[in-house]
Amino acid sequence: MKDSARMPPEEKRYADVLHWGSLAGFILLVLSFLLYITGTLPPQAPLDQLPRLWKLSTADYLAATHGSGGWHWITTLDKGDSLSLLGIALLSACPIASIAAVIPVYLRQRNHVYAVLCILTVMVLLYAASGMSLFRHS
Amino acid sequence: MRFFAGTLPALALFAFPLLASAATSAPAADAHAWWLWSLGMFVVCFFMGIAAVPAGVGGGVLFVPIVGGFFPFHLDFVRGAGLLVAMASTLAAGPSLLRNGMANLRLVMPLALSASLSSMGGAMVGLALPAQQVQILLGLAILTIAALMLLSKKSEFPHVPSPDPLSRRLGIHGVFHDFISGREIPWHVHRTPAGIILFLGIGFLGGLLGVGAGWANVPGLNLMMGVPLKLAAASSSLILSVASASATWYYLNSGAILPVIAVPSVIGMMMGARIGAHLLTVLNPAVVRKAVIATLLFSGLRSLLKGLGY
Repeated sequence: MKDSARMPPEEKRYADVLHWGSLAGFILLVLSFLLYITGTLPPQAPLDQLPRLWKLSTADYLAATHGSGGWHWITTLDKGDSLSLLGIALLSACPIASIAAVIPVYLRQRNHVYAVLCILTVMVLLYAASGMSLFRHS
Repeated sequence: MRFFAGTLPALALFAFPLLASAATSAPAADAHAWWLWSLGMFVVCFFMGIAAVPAGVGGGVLFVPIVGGFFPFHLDFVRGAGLLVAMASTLAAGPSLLRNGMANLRLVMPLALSASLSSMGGAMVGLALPAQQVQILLGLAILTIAALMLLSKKSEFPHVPSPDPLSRRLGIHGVFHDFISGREIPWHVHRTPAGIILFLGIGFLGGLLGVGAGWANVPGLNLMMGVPLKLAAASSSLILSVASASATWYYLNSGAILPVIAVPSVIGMMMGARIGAHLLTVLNPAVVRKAVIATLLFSGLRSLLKGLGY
């Protein structure tokens, strides 16, 4: 194992943020899923309807469940399935947080090329996360 | 003994698609069938996780063709879950790969930018295309991957005559500590511009089909750019986590991730992968790899036929 003194500071920062972020994401994912499948939190789409609904395309599924895609689920976190999506969103945000965390390190090292590469990658991921790229298909 | 130890998970991996297929064609399930399918996903992914580690493939490449070909879910949800499975496995491994000095962030960042951009594009196209066409593309891609796995060569420490100007400018080089020989091996890369273009294509396919991209990342890094094999495998994992995140966000925003499919898959795959890593000394990797290739051929053919309406 690399000792921490030999490990480049940007890699140490990246690894730390990724470790704690993904750990938090997995814990939230498991807990929220348990609340969902045990019926502790009522679901948006009834569980017993799922074998019929999961055969549909996403567009038909959203129509059948009166969903609208995008970040709409964040407004219904009292529903078990929406809360489970929060765990998934947290996991998906881990690479964004890890890359964003190393930008100041690269800037301190005056490594502007890598700082710009990281900023661009964060912008791509934030754009994907924002839902602005959503292509409405039927 | 080693042969049987290697064959057991391989046989299980091969048997589950058949069981799933039989269950799908059974008469209408009762109202509680959702939890049976959820449990089935957990079990199947557990065995996929065990087989994926010694076979040297990511979970996504097994997940999408097997679940898409043999389970009753729409392919949109299968691909959404496949991306999440691929991403979750790499997120869990990422910190220790960096701390062990197995992955290199300077190598990862330019390629991750390229792959994440195209991965989102692939997700857009994939969700816009009719499922049948995606199923045909998936079948063809999986059959190609199986052929590549059969034919491709690897080089532990590829010879790189001199680094290219872009990699020199980006400072992509380092010293790799090989734990087996105990040697410090200096490395640098070549063909960086071509590598960036290659990762645009790999990212696009990963997002389109939801299969992750470890199967293409490692040969691309190792054979094309001259990255030592172990460094290539570890760095591929970090690239995959970023590229998969970009497509996963798109699938999530599109409503193409169903927790009841995705969450048991992620948990099963991660538990299986941990056991697979521990069983590396007992399992026969060659036997598992052959079984995985056979499963890919079988499920790829099934995807292709399903897409063609058979």
